[in-house]
Amino acid sequence: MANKRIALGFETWTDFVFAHHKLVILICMLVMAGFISQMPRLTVDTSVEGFLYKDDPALVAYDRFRDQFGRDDRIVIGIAGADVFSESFLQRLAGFHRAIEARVPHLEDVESLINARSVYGTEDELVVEDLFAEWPQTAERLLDTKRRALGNPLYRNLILSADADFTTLVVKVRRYGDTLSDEEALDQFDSDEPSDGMAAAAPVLLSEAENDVVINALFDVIREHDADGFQIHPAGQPVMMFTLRNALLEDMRVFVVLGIIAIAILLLLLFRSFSAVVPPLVVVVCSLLSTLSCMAMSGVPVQIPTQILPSFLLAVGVADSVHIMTIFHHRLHAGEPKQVALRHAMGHAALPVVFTSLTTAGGLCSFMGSDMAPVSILGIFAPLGVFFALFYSVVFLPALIALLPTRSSGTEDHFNLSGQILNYLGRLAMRNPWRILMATSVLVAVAFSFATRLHFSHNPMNWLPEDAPLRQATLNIDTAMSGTMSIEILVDMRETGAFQNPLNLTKLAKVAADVEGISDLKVGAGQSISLVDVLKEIHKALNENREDYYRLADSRQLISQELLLFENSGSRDLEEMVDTVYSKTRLTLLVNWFDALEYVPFVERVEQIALRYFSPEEVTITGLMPILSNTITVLIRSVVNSYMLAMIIIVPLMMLMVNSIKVGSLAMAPNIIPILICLGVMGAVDIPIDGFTMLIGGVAIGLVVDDTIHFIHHFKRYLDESGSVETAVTSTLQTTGRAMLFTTTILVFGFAAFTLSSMQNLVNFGALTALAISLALLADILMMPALVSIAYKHSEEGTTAIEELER
Amino acid sequence: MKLYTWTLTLLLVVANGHAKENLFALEIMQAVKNRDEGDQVTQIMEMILIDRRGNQRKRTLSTIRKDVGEDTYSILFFTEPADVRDTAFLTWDYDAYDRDDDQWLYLPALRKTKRIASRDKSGSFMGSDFSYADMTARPLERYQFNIMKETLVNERSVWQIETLPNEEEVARTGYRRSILFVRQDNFVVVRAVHWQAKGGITKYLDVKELQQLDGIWVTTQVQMTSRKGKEVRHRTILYNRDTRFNQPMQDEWFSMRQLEKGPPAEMWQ
Repeated sequence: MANKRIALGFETWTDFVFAHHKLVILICMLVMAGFISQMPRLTVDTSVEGFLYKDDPALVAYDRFRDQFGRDDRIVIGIAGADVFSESFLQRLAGFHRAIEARVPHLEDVESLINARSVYGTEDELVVEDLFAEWPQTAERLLDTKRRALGNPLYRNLILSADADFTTLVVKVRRYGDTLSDEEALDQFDSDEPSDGMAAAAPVLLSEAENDVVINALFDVIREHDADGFQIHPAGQPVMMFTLRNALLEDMRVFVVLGIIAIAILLLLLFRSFSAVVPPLVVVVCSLLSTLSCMAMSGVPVQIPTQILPSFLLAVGVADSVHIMTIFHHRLHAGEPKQVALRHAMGHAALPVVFTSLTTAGGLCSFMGSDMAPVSILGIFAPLGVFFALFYSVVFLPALIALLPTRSSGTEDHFNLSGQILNYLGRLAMRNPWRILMATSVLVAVAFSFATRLHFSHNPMNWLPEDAPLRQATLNIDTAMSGTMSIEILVDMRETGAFQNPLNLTKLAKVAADVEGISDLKVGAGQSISLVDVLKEIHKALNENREDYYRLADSRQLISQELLLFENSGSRDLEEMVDTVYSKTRLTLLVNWFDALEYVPFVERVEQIALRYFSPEEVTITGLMPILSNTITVLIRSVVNSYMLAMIIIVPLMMLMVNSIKVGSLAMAPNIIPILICLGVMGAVDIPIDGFTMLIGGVAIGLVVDDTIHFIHHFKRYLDESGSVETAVTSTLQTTGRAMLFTTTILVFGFAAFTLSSMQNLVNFGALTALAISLALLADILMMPALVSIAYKHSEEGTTAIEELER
Repeated sequence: MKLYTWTLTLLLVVANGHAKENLFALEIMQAVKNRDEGDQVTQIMEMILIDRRGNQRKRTLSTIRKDVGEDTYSILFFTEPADVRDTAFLTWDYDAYDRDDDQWLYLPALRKTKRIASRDKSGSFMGSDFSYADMTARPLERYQFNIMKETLVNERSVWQIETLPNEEEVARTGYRRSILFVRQDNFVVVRAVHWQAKGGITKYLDVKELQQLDGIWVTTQVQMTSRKGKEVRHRTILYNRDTRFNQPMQDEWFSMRQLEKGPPAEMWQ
């Protein structure tokens, strides 16, 4: 009864919209104009830390760390040549270094062999200068510089490879813009009273556009200097963010354009009328723009996982329109006037459309609780987009249909072939229900055995194609040097002067030695850097450069005096290593790039080692690597949670829709099995569960149950009318089956478009989701008839198996 | 000095062309450079270093300075904190700009004196926000000066002068541009903003206390604040105490031997 009342409500609404369609269109256009005006505020975030919530403890610790020791993003540029210390290579390096300083804006600093800090001592002299402060004029001088550089432990594998055929140049980009006008700058005199000066407002981060200018300018310089014998490999977080962002923006453009074209072509094929193509397209484009505008308004950036949103919404949003339009055209074809046909279509289709929107949104809502920030954002904005699509389908769509001239498609012959195939398959299933179920069981068993091989992964580098310059550069730097990934051990003794005390410094040195000694894990620390290394270097230099003095001084006084000397030497490195009162310091470990999964045991081990020497209150493990390692931990938890949540949301909805607990549970089979097969395929072809493939479950289940809902809804109606299971199944397949086939085709196209992406993770996601959706349609066509033919086999005898079950 | 002021005032009245103004700016800067800073000076320098969390460190130094011809010799002994007491620096600052200063360091815990070879003057002076370049005079021929306007600082008339160093000077001082506020009555730079070429730091010099001792203007309290944009990164408050001019001094005080011996006993009598 309630359903009928709702259907009646929709019919009345349709009449209202039909009568006032111009007004409705005007209002919708005004609303859209409001949304579109917000679009320029939409931003993109492709950072490694963007996968975690801002209040995630790992990120909070990382931010605190960066706040203390510098927030500069480092671009690491590897440069390969036959001999770094050949005159020609050094000249090129100096030219390259100067060109970057001169032409790249927003720089914090550029560091290379040219200006590397060189501290050494002679009998009565202490020299603190740039390695190439004075250009070596003779071959002997050059050789002497080379010997000094190769003998410096602070250079080895950090800026110079052991056999001097690879060097790195680090470009530090400012995180904050510096755009104070003279007037603003001069105003600062009045604001630096001790009471308020320290707590001044946080500075403005460099904008995306400014960052792009930096990277583009840098790449220009690189292009000009890259040559045989001077091969330049840029890597590091800013380059990765830039590369991923460009790939993302390019992909999104392609997906949206392809999506719109595919939908237009399919609609044209289905309805053979141009006027039938425009309204659904307008609906989906409006839904998409509204959703993206909501993201812009709430300051939520587009991230790697959320980039699927546009094409996803295009494919999903059009399904609502298709269901309404199919019935509308069917009625129109039967000779009903436009308004009557529309009223009928809305009355019949709107309710299942509402329900399928609810299940789709429900599946997506399962991401909402994810600890992975972009996944949870998808869990908020994708359902919002689904509801926008529903809203525009019941408001904008009828108004547009009313406005545009409509002609009946004239013939439905082109459906005959698909209808025949559907019929054939349906009959086949009904006649051999047990065989179908047996074959399915075998398939499930095989899939399950493969699914046990599944593993998790979080490796943003692997998202790029294998020949991507960034991947090659990172690999080259990792091979030649200590790596580009870092983990930081932050030790806070909460006591002024703690790190002028040789005892604490010795403990820090032991941590470094123990960590560098880790050999039983796949990940190993290539190099550690801390205050200890700087002190050893000064101590050696103060003692005439004798190797046996490359150690810590043993008195607090001497260490304090060495530190004073260092502070006074013109080097700014100290503030990046220890706080001003020597209570807090860091130990940096450089590590090669691996899958985040490999970092988890390494991070744990590093923590264990640090805790051997310092108390848990004193130690914080942070840095990019723990961020990645934390991300995968969160990922694993999210996958389990989202699959469970999807079931908790969708199963009751299904039961509510079919009005039966048991039928509802039974009807879940054709929806869960395709996803299980997908997981089996992933296990078989070694595709890991990552930030993308984890989405397949929630996305697919929400979509594929729609077909089942439509099937059961119509099957029950036809069964009531005809009393025959076979007739009911055939009629269902002939009517709603076609809509199912069509919407599945659109969805498969929509998701298959992702396989054109340059990012491998997106390719996997698109292919697998398309597979799950295709399999689900097959399951609905084969399994549902098989299931209903078994469940309702006594229907002619008056009692169905289902009814027996329900008792 | 009076003659200078008269000349300058006259020039200010007459000059209205841009070139003349620049010339005038140079004259002002010349006057700043030639300002009497006293000779044979003993002084206690107390520096309070404050980081952006408000952590404070105090450093106290006894200093002696003497002009030797056009050059300036100085020696600094740390008295505070205890860990670095008696650490000492000896500097021979040569007037000729093509000649690097000589600097020696004595570390008492090591009982060794080392000559420090470093030409970079952009580095921190004793760990403070002041750099060596801030503590020494600028070679005017390496700069372009423009008078921006006349204004008031602490109710005193000042010239606001923009200074643009040449490339060599940018490398030496680390500053790519400065705005100076020069008091019109005594040619003391009472405020300055320095934009660093690298690192996005802007430094703010602010003379908080200025006294006339024996007819010589002495900045007895001066603050240098390092900012990134509007955010304060670090601050140093420098107090110059017990300044005495024309103290009897011997040349051997400015030697390595004295560096190791500690402050000469006669110095504080």
